[in-house]
Amino acid sequence: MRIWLALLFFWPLAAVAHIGSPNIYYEGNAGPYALQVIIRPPDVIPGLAEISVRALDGNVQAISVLPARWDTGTKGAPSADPAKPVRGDTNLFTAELWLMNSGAYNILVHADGAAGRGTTVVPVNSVASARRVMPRGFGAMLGTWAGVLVLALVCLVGSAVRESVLPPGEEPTPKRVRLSWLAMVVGGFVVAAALWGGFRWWNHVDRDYRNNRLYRADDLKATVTTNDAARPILKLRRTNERGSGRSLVPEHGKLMHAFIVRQPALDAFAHLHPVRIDDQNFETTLPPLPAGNYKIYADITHSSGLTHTLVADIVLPANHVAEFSKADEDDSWVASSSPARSEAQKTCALPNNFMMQQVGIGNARMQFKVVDGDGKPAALEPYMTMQAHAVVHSHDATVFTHLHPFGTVSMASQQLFAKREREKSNKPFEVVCGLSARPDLIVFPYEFPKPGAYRVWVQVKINGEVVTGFFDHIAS
Amino acid sequence: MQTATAIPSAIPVQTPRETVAPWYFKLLVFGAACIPVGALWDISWHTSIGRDTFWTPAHIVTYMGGLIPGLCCGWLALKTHFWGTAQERATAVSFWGFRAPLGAWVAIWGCFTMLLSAPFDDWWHNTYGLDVEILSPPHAVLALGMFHVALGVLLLMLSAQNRSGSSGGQLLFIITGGIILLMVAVFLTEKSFPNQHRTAEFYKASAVTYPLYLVTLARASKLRWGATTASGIYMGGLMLMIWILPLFSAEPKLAPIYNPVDRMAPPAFPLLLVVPAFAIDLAVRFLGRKSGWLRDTVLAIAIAVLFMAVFVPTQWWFSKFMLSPAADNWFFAAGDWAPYSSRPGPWLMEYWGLDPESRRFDPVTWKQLFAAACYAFISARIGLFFGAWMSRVKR
Repeated sequence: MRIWLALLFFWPLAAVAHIGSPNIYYEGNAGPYALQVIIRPPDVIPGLAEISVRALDGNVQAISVLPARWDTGTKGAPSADPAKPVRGDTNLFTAELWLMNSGAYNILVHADGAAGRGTTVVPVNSVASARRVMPRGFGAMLGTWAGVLVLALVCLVGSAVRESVLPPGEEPTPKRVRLSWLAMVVGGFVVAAALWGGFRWWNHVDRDYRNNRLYRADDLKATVTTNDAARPILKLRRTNERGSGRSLVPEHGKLMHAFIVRQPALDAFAHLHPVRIDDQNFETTLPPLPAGNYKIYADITHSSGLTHTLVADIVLPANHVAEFSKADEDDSWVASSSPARSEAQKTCALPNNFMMQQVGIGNARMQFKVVDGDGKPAALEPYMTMQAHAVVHSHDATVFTHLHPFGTVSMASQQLFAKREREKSNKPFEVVCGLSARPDLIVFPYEFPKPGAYRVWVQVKINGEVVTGFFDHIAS
Repeated sequence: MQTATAIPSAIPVQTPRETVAPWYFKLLVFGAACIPVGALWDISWHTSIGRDTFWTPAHIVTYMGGLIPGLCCGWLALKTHFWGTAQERATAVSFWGFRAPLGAWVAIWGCFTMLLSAPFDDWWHNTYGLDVEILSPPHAVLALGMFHVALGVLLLMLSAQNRSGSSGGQLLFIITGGIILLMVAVFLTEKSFPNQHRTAEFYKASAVTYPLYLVTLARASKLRWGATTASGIYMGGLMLMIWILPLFSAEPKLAPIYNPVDRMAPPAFPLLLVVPAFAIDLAVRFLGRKSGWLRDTVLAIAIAVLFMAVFVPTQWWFSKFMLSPAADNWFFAAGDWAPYSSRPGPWLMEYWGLDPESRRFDPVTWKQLFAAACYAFISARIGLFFGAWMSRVKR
């Protein structure tokens, strides 16, 4: 597309690891201190990441932050920047950090207080995710300014030829005046050629940005076939166009987390874990979901710590398998629920008289409770090492996020970074992911990225069974 | 039939009031010098510290380079038009109904172009990320503005030189010429590292650029060795930066840090431009005092051949020295330009572009040298044209 001055808006592209939800939310312990960290990564690289850190237990005196790229670690990191306390809020600190390269970064957050120093690590995907175009008014201002300068330059050429070599006081002859007009014409052509060259250069940079620097998730192709037992098999094939052939690492023990959501009603949902066939191909048995159009969101993590969400569309046929056996013991699904509604829904009945309740959304947190038939907190068991998993999906399918009680970051990225640090420095470097879980409350640090209607699925494990609650929320 | 036009003699008619350069000329030259000094300091800042703000010292020096000449020339234009004496108005050119010296208009134009680059650059950073290279469209606009500020100062010195012939004016003119040469060299930094002195691109870029400036200065200057002096100023300015910048400690502030520098990184050692400049001075002195279309065309061919014959072997062998351990000292500072964001390694002291397997393979061949000579001819021919014009500029 030609970049001309009359352009108005920019569109955010798919945010890595999540769709349309680029901000990073994390809650975890930095040594003895409980912190909530929110990072607004830049949408162009190099760019500034905005970081805000809240001390949840109020014992922190100072916060400092530093960026470490996945391969150089803290050895290749600058000294930490002190975060500024926010006036009027003694527990909130803010800082800005430059992310210079594309790839996986980790923001180290140091908290200092009476109990000494504690550190936590928040993984960040540093990628260019937006392509801006010039606002119309700004373009008009710049164009007018440039136009006046071009006109002035051509006139200056005329003045130079007409008068600059004349002895003081002498008037230019008609011949010299004609010569100055000729020079202005020639000068005009030279300036026009220079402008044309400049625009070609600009377009070249823009094309390079779009083709090589702007983040583009691998393509994902989904197909359904049947196996020898006439059971439907979901096959996923990813193609990495940019040649980033780094190996994948497991997140909660799985190389891929695939979420299948029926569109547009959002009334069928599955959380599956396809098995890796080779670097590009994954497959799993398809649970009995109703026929319809679906979106598949597949979360993967590279060994660098960079996380991706790959997206595919698929039409599923009716699937009435009488006896279904899971391909992975942690697979779970809700085959039929009420369609997404444009009004808030705060409770969801679960099997065996359990009830899930949304008890608060605000202050960068979503909070839920699971109670039994007597209203007592249900005894939750770890589901893939987590107290709970949640998926946020906007009704218009522009936002998708998979998160946990510690937030939206990748636990695998965090642990990989800690492992590399230990190996490089031969010193202990431990990171505790998340806060201690409360038995009566499930907390997800998160803010909806834009106003609109969302469906939230929350998955927990009770009595050995994974159960899924669903909620509708209207973000204002 | 061609007619040869004599280039004005070194001692033109003098008027008593113009034998001494106006007081603000030195201020203008100081302002122009701030531009390459600020640019080199800024490059060093980005390669050593990385993180900057609008108000870093290097940026402030660069702004001074635009503001001092811009404000001086703005004042000069207002004074000449509204309150100028008859003599001052007689040595001005008209532009959009106003009268001021040509150099003042050019410097003002450059100042406004530098200002234009600021919002453009800001938008560029927000759209494509912070540009970490020297060559980008908004930087080109900035460089265009800087160049015209310095050119405006040069024209003011030039017109004074051509009217009065005072030695002070002649010296200020050639100092400004050296400053412009330094600016141009800074803009070509990314193509001029000693490691690139055996690539065709380096010689082609140099052939396009340097003959134009050296020939223009050789012909327009009233000094005997104008181009050589200007080249000396270019080399001296760059060498001063090489020696001064590392005296200041620095710490990288951005990740990833592959090269933990602890001093401000110096620029790479300058090209030995005094050598081709001396040859060009000789050629212009003995063959180029008269101008004419055919005469200048033949002279341009001779200068192009001379430039290539002197410049290529000089840089070819000097770069070999620069990539040897003998140059690894404070004077030559070989390889010390490496930024914090580059992994140190043998590549710093090796030639680039000579690996046939690399997509940057770009060896010097006879064909490429011929192409460079053609560029040198065009560059020299334009230089002779501008030099002839500049030697006559009086306003």
